[in-house]
Amino acid sequence: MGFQRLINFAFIFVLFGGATANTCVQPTPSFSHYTSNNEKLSQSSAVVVEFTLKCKNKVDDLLLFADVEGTQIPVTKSPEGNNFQVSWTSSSLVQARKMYKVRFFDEEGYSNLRKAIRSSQDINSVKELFQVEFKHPGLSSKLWIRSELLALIVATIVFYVVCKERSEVIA
Amino acid sequence: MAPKQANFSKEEELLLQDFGRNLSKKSSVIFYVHAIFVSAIPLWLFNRVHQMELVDNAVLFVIGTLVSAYLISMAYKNNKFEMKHKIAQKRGEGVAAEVYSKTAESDSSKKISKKEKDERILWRKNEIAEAESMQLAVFYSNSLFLIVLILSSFYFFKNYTPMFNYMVSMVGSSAVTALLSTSSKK
Repeated sequence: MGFQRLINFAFIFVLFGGATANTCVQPTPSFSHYTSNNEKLSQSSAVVVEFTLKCKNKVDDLLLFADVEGTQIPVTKSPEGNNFQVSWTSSSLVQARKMYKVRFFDEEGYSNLRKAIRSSQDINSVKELFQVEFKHPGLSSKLWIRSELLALIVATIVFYVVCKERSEVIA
Repeated sequence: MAPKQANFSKEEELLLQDFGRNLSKKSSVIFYVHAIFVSAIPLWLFNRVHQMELVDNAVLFVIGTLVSAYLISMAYKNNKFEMKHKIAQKRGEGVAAEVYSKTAESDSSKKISKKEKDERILWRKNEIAEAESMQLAVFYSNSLFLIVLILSSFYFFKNYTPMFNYMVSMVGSSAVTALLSTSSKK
């Protein structure tokens, strides 16, 4: 009888223990993103992705990693709830509008990803936990010259004109 | 060496007033207004590009603007003084012709003495030289200040902290403008 009780307790413990494992079953993210796109006054763009993750099982201290175009970035988690945030900057984002795909991995997935990278395998073959897609709006028009250089050229032309006039006066 | 005369004749005083370094009240006000305006323009630049908040850096901005305005007004004054003489010399013939033509058109019964004509020419020459030298001094000093500011703020000190960038760029640009205004060609 006592042994039977012990078995029951062990079974219940494993059941709950499995439910609180660090992996998310059937993840359902609800995310929002922000991209800076004021290219005329900046040299790079920043992207921030925030999301809330709902899992079928209860997950504590879920550790996530994001893969953005081949670069892995750790995802920060809020102290309470399942709110996550990842952010990065890139000069390539300054360019034209396009769709971005960010893949998220848990610890096991990240470990597999690192193995694939070390063994020079295709990282797309590693299954992610979930992925999000968003559109970077970019700019409809873009100066082919940097704004400060343009300002300097205009200032130089004005200064040249006024110097010429001044030298005619002083001469 | 004979001591300098402390008392000048009325004509000499007028000449000193017209062609001396001292500015009239009106000229001073015009210069200071221009100087404050051109010193305040970069605030927008530093706020939008270097992300410096106006309220957070208010003290720094006020000090920088005032120091820069003082130095730029000094540059205005020096440049104006240097150019006024040259402009007066260049415009002398044209002004004399204008005054002579005007006096000739006036009533012939009223004969104007040569002395009065010369005074009118001098007054008119001073008026034109004053206006033109002020405008050219403001134009030249502003363009020099802005080009040095753009170079220092966006190229030389681009990677420094915004506060340091602002102080050094503003004070440095206005100081260079004032310094170059003290040079004179002989």
